[in-house]
Amino acid sequence: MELNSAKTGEAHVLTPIADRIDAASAIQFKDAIRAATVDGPARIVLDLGHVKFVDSSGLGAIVASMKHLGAGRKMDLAALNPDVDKVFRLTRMDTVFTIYEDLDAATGQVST
Amino acid sequence: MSQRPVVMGKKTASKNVDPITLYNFTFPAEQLAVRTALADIRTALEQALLDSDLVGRVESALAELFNNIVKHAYANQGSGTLKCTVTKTAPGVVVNVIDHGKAMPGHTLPDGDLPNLEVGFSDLPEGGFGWFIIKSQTDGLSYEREGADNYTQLVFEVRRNA
Repeated sequence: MELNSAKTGEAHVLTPIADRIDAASAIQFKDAIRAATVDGPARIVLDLGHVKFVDSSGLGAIVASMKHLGAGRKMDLAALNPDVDKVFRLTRMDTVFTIYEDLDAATGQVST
Repeated sequence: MSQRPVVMGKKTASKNVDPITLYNFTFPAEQLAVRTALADIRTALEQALLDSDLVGRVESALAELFNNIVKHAYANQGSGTLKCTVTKTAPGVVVNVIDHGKAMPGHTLPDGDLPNLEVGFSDLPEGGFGWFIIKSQTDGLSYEREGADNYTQLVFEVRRNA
């Protein structure tokens, strides 16, 4: 999966260039995130601005990627579209991740 | 399923007619075909001017159901097919799905409880959300095993406060 990568302040912003994080792409997503976070800042911001759909496999892949970073690093989420946001709220995963309205809020550390 | 007549919206005829079939296809039970089917179903629902919350719920629930069928019903059986019919009814949408894979354990639907999130960091669940999502997105859900076939019906109604 194509992933844009940018270091903004203290955060490493990763932007999947994909419509969907689903059963068909969950493994590619995990592989791409792992490869991009071998080293670098302790805080990752996963920018989901391009993603229109996440299913339970995609959700699992995002959780797995966060866990793979280890407890000493952090993965926050930003720019969830309404359908994606709904999946996180429905499954209570919004209690596990800090979710920011957009990238500016995420990198400016202003919680929404 | 009930086949009562439905009053059409003002974009179409004003007389009572049968429920409208929006999608009726059989496709291979594999991930990329599931993706294509979900995209086609979304397009069909949008063209029928259904509200975006309903369209999102149908896509979410069907993604989980189809992936469950691919992964579990057809696991280790080689290739199979999925037949999906989406019908517009007065209160919303009815979806009928037929597959020829393994039966659901006990011939019943799973409870679909939300996995426990009150666990340590390394034990956070990476799956087990599928049936919870299906149950929470639908307003009616039934499953029957008949012969070698699984029949699953999902009912979606417009949720006014959505």
